Amino acid sequence: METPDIEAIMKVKNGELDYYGVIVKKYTNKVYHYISKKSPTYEDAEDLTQISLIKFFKSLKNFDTKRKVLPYLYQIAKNELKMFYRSRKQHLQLKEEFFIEEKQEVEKTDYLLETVSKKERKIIEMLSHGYTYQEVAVKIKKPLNTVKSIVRRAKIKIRKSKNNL
Amino acid sequence: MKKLEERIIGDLYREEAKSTATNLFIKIFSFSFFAFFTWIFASIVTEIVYKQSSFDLINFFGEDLEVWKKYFADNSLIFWDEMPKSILLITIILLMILFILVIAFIKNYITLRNKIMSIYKFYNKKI
Repeated sequence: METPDIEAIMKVKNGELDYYGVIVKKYTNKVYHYISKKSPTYEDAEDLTQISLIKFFKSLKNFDTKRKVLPYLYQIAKNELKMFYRSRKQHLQLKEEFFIEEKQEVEKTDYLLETVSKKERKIIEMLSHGYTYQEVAVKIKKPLNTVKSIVRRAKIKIRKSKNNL
Repeated sequence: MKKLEERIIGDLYREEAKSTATNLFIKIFSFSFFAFFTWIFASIVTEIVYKQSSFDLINFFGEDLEVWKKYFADNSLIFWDEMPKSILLITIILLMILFILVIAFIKNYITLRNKIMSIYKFYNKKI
């Protein structure tokens, strides 16, 4: 960092705000050109430059004077650009049809689960919660192969009821 | 570009003026708040001690060194026992907070003064 920068930053830290003018005059142009390459309009570039330089001023309290000003400013500008594009991103509105479709799907699954016995339903629910066959077998105190055949039978029942729907 | 620089500087001064004013207001308010309550509690303690005539225990200070040596420990203990301790504790805590506030203000005084001067100069130049 050049000495005038250090001096100016130290003075700004000491409350002499006029010295921030030195930083602004020296770096506004550079930051503006950096941002204008990536922002859609000149007005946006100006706004983002303004925000970046004000954010730099606010972060001066914690700024390490051993670091260079320009890379730090570029980093702030980069973050501001990211935020700017993130805020402009369009959000997908939740349509009512999607909600209804999802609701119908849940109702259908509930109905299909009703076609199997209590024991079978319990095992399927455990498997859907992430338990392995082995863990289910230990939990319900049955051999692993029994669990596997219960699940196979339940699947056949569900498939049949699904076809009848 | 000159316009943009002026806009940045203007914005910066506006924000700083706001935050400095808020900061100053909070400092003055908290100082007066704690000073007021410290004064109230201190006067309560003095009043109680005065009514109990506990200050009579200190009269021996006007006597000779021998009398001092003889009565200092006893009188101090009795004086301490007669003190309203809970109120005294509150007063001491308030005094400590006040002291911390004053130290913090003295520490930041130069920065604050410079800031106010810069803001004043900036807006004065504009007028």
